Amino acid sequence: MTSHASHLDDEVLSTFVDQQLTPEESTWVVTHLQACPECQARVDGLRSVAALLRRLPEVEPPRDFSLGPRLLVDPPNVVRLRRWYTATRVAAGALVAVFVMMSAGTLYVDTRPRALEAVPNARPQVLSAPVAPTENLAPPPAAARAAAPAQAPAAAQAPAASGAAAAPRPAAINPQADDQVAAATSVRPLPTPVPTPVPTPLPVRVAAQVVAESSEPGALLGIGTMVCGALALLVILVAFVFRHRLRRASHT
Amino acid sequence: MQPDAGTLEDTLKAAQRGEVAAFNALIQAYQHQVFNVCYRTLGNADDAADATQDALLNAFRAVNGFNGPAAGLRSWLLRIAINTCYDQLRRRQRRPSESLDALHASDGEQEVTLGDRLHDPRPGPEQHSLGAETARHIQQAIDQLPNEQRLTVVLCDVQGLSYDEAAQIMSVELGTVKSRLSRARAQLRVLLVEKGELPAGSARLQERSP
Repeated sequence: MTSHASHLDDEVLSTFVDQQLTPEESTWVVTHLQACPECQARVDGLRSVAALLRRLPEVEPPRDFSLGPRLLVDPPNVVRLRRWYTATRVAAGALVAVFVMMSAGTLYVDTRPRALEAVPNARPQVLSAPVAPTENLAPPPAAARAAAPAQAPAAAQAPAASGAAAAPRPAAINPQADDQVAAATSVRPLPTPVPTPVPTPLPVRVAAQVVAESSEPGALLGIGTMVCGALALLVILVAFVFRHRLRRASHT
Repeated sequence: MQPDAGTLEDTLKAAQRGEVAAFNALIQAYQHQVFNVCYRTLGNADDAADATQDALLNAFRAVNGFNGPAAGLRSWLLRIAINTCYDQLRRRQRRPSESLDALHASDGEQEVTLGDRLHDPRPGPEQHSLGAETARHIQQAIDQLPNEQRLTVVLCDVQGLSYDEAAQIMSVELGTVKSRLSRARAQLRVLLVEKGELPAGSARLQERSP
């Protein structure tokens, strides 16, 4: 191909400006430029840009970027916060794991005998006696934390009083919107739903509970699950508080 | 401001043992260039200072992993610096309103004179040969380039690094450097002609040519 047949592309010309072409390529470009004022003008243009850029003044850094102790180690409060945050996260994870396992255990223990049990309509009368004592046994761990023991028995009595107690139960939970109480109370209704997580007619649920109460390991497991869940929620809450503080501390 | 090879090697070894003082000696040697690359890439002193500090801190944390000869230290530091700049540019793109504000601010005459005073507290001897106005126009033109082209032109033309070193810093092929640089220069020529910093003749010829 002859050197003037077509114009050279910018890449070749730009590389030529930097004298980075091979000697052969260079000679070829020089030959082309002699015959092609258009490419010569483009070379001049590229060269003038490069020359202008090279004359850009160096800028003095506004400060010394040496690494001081402040940059290398976090301030002690951040270190401490981070340690606590990590600890609470691990604890929360462990508690959640235990909670899940215990829930599964409770479910297993509770569903096994329920299959054998018939569900007669007369259930409410039978249950009024056994439910009250065990329900009173269940609340103490959560209720003590929530400092609202009065509400717990009240909620426990509700199903015993009326057979179709679907409405009173949520109503008893709702008023306790207070922060700390909420952590415990959100777990409070657990003993009932845990045996049968799927919404079932109340008689069935109540029957399951009665069965659970008749078998001691099931009841203990239920209480343990509830406590564990409450603790998990509490620790998660604390972990969030630490995270928030850590964020704020490391921003300053 | 390059330390001689023997000292550099020793200083690097000490820095790799975790001696902050030794790493700070390396910072003394390279911070000027690192800051300048960041400054020309990001277009303003505040962002450049942040990027420089981040890059040098990251470099200190990673210096154990640097196993090349000390001569490659500059490229290594600049690679960390441009990666930090990329992160900044990406963050900027995620917040378009803010970068738009910055763009408007840099157009404002008052903002720019203040900026110039901040950026060039001690004008070097070159400052006299290239006016502040021209320098500002060039920087504005560089700011308008796509990221890759901008970086290439900063490394090759503003910093005067070789194609090889630029390729190494950007982790690209030599041919990529050549093509990016040529596109950046062609684009800059058009922009600088528009701003009246270059004669129009060559640009008109460029537009006519295929």
